[in-house]
Amino acid sequence: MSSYVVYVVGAGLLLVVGVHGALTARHLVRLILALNVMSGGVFLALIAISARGAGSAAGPDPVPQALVLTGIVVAVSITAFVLALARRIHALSGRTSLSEEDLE
Amino acid sequence: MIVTMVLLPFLGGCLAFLLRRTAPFVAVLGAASVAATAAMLAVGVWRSGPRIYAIGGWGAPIGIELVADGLSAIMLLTSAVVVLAVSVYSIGYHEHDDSDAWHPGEGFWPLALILWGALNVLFLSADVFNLYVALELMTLAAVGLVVLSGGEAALMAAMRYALAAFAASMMYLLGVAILYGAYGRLDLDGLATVVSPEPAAFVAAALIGGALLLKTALFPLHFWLPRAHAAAPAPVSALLSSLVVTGSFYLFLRLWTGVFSTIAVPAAGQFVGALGAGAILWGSLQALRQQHLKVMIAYSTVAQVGYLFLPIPLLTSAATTPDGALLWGIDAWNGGIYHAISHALAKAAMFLAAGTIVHALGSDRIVGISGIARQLPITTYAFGIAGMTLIGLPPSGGFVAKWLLLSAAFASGQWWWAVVILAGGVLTAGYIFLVLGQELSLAGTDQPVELSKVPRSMEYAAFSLAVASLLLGLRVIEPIALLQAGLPFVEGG
Amino acid sequence: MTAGLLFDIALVVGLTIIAFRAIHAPDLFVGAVLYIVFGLLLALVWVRLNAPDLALAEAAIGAGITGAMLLDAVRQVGSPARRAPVLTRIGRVAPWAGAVGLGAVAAGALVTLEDRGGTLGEMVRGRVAESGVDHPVTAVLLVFRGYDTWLEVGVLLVAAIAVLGVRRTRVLVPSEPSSEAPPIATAAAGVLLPAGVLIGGFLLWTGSHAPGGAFQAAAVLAAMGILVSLLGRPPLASLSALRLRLLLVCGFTTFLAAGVVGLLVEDAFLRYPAAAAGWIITVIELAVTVSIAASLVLLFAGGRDRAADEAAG
Repeated sequence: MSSYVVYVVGAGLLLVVGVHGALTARHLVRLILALNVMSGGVFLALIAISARGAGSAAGPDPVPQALVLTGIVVAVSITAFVLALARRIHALSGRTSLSEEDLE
Repeated sequence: MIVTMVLLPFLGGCLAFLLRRTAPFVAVLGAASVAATAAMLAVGVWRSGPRIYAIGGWGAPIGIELVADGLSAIMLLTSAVVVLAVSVYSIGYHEHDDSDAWHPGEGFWPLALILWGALNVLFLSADVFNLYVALELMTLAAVGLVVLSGGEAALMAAMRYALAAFAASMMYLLGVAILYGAYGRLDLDGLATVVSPEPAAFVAAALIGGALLLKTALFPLHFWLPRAHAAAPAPVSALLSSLVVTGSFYLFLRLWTGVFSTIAVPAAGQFVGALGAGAILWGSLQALRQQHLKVMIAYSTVAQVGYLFLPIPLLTSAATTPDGALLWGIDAWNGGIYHAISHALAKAAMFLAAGTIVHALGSDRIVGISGIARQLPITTYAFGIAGMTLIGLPPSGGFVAKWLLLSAAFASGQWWWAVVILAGGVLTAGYIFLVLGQELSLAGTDQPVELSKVPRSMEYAAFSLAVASLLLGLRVIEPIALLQAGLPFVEGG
Repeated sequence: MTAGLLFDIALVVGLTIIAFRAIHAPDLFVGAVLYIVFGLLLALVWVRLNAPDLALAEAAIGAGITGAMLLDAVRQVGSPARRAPVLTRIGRVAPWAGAVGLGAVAAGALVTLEDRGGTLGEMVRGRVAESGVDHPVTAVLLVFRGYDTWLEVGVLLVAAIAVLGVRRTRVLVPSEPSSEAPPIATAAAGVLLPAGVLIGGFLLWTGSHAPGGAFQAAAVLAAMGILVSLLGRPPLASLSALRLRLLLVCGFTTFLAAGVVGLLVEDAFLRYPAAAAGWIITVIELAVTVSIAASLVLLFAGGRDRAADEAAG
């Protein structure tokens, strides 16, 4: 087993946790957390690929690293927007979830 | 020349954001000049084939390339025309926004122009990761536009839309990661030559395909669309239902017939087609049940998205059958894209017409629009002509699209798609005539309704889009010839 | 099994557990704190995987700024009074089945790719000299794939415009005038602010040849801005609407202008003339840093602007 396999499996585990959270969470902040965990899993997959066969003198592949940097900025933009939206919804209606009956 | 179609909308968006009073002028001028450029590009591509533009001069695979073929050119042209009409319409729509307090127009103009820029990036890009960034830019601008109507319903709809789109983006990016891990490149043309049937490629295709189906709102992944499109301000609904949906469909079609063409199996094609059939039937039935005009039109979009995906099984079987491409593949390709552009024009016209009615009446309850044809005849014409295209009545663009799809379905022996196309047409006629019947009704004429004044430009903007969707059915040769430039599945196409 | 591999396994297990507990913590405040821990662990993973640029960005943006936004949102939106209702068996099993299926399929596909080679990495290293910068990640970000980065700055700009739209405002309003900022925090800010500006400047300067660059620098600057926001005075609140918009838009438009220079001089959008590549990139980075920092502060402070809520509510 190599550290590539460990981290790729880790990416899979983060996806499991994130997707499960996104499917079950009701509170908007929890949903946003779950989606960010999902994106962490995707980024981990890309960086594991970047470092694949590490130990080679050349070092890691810079392309996936640049892609993940872009991805991190995109993720924080969306997170910020969605949080602002969640706060606005809460301020207007007191609701904290998407469901009709609003249990949380 | 190609890159100016990306630069102008973004430049316009920044200007409209900085100096808000110039926004309407910037938008109309930008849309007109991009429409002219797109028309020139279309002629160029038609005469001398697809063009490639290397950003920064680096070239693929190290850099990012733009590729303009017939499909790109026609999409660019369609979106410029829609943006032009929507801009003209929005000048009237945002007329009273001149006060010193914040008003929705301030968000509308920059976001709409950037949304359009992102679409143009999407239509030209030949790089899977660059397409991811374009999708994100497009989605975030779209959600930001939905919010502008304020109100709890719009905010909740925007939230649902944003979360669904964010999840879809992650799936797409995961697919990109797997593709890069497997083949070490991101350019579409390069990937198309190296992708081979193996587990990683199938998983990447499923992730990317699924993500795009969610973003296109194909049944049963349409749950976020009706509320978002109905709750948005009318010019935004027009942009979303006509262009944003088409943008993610475009990408699906591009990747299915490009990068993933060697691994697209007929069963997967039939599955996507079945979802499309489900969308047509479910969306149309839901549209028939709606009491509110804008919700009805939004469900009509759910249904019409289904038609977009009917060519997929036909194209897939054409690629695996000897002579299939010539016998029905080209018809399916042309029919699908013809439907996309006819629907884009007609649906934008319809949402703009609905917006005019809401503007005049203050409500969009379908029972309330009784007899409105007397006061808003041009808007009623716009709705009716756009409806003809959606139903597929001759001589509209929708008729040509359905004709091509029907002949492709019969030529391939997959007659079941023809049944769906015809049934969908009948159901569409049902909900369109329900509304038209109300508009033309004489029942409510005893006590004429008090209407707010509507700027003429709003009425004519919707009308001209509707007429454009009709003209597509009268001038068929040129668009079809253009679509043959860069045809993905015919040797030397 | 080597010690390094054991460490990797421990890190992955820890990451997964923290992520799960962050999402499902009964108290959302705890969840947000755990998410920050998650981000820091992820930064540690990036260090392990030879990605120091990302470690910096993750710690500053992923853990720091996202974490601060989450904490602040939780403070307003509050924790749920009760837990989600007890689900049926299918309601419990189906999400797990979907999630495990997706994760397993993705991980399985990725595992088969362990021995693939021939990525763009070698090509980038071979041509980094042509780019005008020495650090390969910066070369990819600003030169070879500068188009992506330009659009990404656009994403941040759109987010800022959209947040202003959610708030229905053009300027940042100080959220809680003369709020209960303890003197120690004000004093700490007095020390941290200049330090933050220095660190940000250093990261920006170093990015051309070593890990760091515009994003990391902007994140550090934004973190300082957020700190000041938390004291009740968002640093952008004193700006007029036009100046705020100029700050937000300057990164995207400077990048665009640089691209157009390439179009005019070298006949290719985003091609920097060889003689001037170095300083054009510096100008882009500077403008992008300012815009990203301003956008991040706006995204944070704009989201928490309660005065607008009360006006609307």
